[in-house]
Amino acid sequence: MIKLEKVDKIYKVGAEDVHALRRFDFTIDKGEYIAIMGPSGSGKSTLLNILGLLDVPTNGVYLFNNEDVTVMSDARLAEFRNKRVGFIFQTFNLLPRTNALHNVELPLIYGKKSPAARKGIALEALEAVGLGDRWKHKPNELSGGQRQRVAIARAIVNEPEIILADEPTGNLDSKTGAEIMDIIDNIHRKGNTIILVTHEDYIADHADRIIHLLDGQIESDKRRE
Amino acid sequence: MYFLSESIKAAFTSLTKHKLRAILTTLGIIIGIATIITIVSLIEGLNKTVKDQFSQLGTSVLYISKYPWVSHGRWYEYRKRKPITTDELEAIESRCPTAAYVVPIADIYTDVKYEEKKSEAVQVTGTNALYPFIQGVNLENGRFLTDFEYKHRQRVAILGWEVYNILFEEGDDPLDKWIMIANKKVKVIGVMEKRGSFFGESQDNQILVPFTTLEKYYGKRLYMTIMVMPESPDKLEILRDELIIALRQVRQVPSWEENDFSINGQEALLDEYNKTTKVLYAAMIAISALALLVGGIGIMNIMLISVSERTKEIGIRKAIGARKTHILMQFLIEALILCWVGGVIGAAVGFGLAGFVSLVTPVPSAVSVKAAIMGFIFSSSVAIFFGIFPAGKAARLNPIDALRYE
Ligand SMILES: Nc1ncnc2c1ncn2[C@@H]1O[C@H](COP(=O)(O)OP(=O)(O)OP(=O)(O)O)[C@@H](O)[C@H]1O
Ligand SMILES: [Mg+2]
Repeated sequence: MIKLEKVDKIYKVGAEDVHALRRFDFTIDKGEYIAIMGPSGSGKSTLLNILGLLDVPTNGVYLFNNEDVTVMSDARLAEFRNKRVGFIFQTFNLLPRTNALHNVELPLIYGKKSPAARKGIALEALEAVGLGDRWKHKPNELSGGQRQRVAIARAIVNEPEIILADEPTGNLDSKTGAEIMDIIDNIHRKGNTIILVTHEDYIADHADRIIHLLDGQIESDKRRE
Repeated sequence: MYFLSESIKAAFTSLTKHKLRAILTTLGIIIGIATIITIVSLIEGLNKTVKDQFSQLGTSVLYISKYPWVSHGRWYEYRKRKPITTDELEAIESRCPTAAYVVPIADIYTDVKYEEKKSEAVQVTGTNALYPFIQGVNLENGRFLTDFEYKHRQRVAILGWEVYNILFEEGDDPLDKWIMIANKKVKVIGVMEKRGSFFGESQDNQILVPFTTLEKYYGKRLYMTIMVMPESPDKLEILRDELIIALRQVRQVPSWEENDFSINGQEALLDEYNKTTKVLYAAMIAISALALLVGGIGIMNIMLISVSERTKEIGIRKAIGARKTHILMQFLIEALILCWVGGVIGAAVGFGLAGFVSLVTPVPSAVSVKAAIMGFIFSSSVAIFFGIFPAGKAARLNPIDALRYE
């Protein structure tokens, strides 16, 4: 489903080049549940951002369902971000001053869903993460775990093929983190592809495939049997 | 198009968070729009009354006088001209076949008395029997001057509505009563209906007498104007030519000299008036352009601040599928709403100011749709012109850079 070939991501910091990813080759099949691990600065977030079309590689090829992402127009990229991928951030990234329902509706709005259809779909997504009764609450009226659930509802509301989560439990205590992982496991069970960045082994254990990065390259790639 | 309502919502969320800032930002817009609305309202108001007044002058009447109505600072030349007299009047009557009505007018201002009652500074106009045909005067009572009275310098008078009301009690019959005009006994033969005012001067504080009678007592001191009307308006230019020939002949102007008289018409006044309003419009454009420029720069500044404050929001929106156009529209709409708010406040101030001016001065004002439309167009243009750069900047942000922005 996803194929990276010889992808480089080079940041220019002053006169220096920082190679966040080096000649990176990577293949993801539909329905996989992958955990990405590695020391800080090894390129995990960079990889996830590129996979999620939030950033573009400096060199190399990125094929999404055999379509070359690096030559896509802005409009097409926006459409992919909207419909094909769902992103879950460590810091939730919800719109403040906007209630849970509206946050979840946003991808539907940009996806040209009619106002009538929107509310039902968004409420369903909120119910799927156990927040059906909190739709009126604004982010600052919700706990960290609840905010992350809203963010997950937003990520799944357009039924994307792939969910990308960058340390989704990083800002949560272990109990809340476990609840969030339950939800993500559930999404995977329904057939979704999931890629998850984490520092914690017990979180990575949820995945079927664990990849360790080091200095922008794959150090190890293990599948659970 | 569903995202439009989202853009409007986002714009309002942003604006209501910084209400004071929004109002202060729009100050330039407010001043600019208020200027436009005030001046356009006043000019529209003036236009309406002036056009009304000018139509009272009669669109197809030519006014022959020593001085032109619209001079261009050449009074010293005009002063040397011979006065217009009954010679010219007779020449026109006999030599201009197109002149259907030829009417002299000359005014003096004097006190008028009847028994104990007195009306001060009444405009006493000398004219002839044809006056009503050009001036559209109707009589409430009595009759108008006759040719006989004109030829024989009879002491008869037609009273204006106001003069009548001052000199006579209600219900009194003024006809055939003798009033005193500047110590001369004159017999009342008619009373005019109320005529209203002409450029602020009452036309009812007036008395009409035969021109010849007035001439007998005031002679050379009178400043005479001859009104001439053709039988139909389309003959006006033919009439003008005939007048020039007849007048040059009777005044013995050598062929190499310019006319030593003036033929005035309302279009000359209208031209002059239009020139003046053009100057006013130019002043308005200058002031409002400056204010709108300042306002526009303020809008651009605040929008740049708004974009940088909301970089993270832009990142989030892009991450979940907002396109460049969505972000562009969101910020353009924010700029538009800002400018419209300024425009509405400016319009209120402008209409208020125009109303105030017409309250304390004789300048009329009109709440004109034209002014409102102009205000709307100008504030929208400012919003788009000065908002496009910040909005474009927001739209071009790379999603991940925007998300990472602190
Ligand atoms: N915008 C940027 N500009 C410059 N360098 C960057 C930028 N983003 C990342 N880098 C560099 O790229 C490398 C990889 O960063 P990345 O954020 O992918 O690491 P990570 O594996 O996610 O680390 P962490 O576990 O701390 O989140 C780091 O050396 C980082 O300094
Ligand atoms: Mg990271």
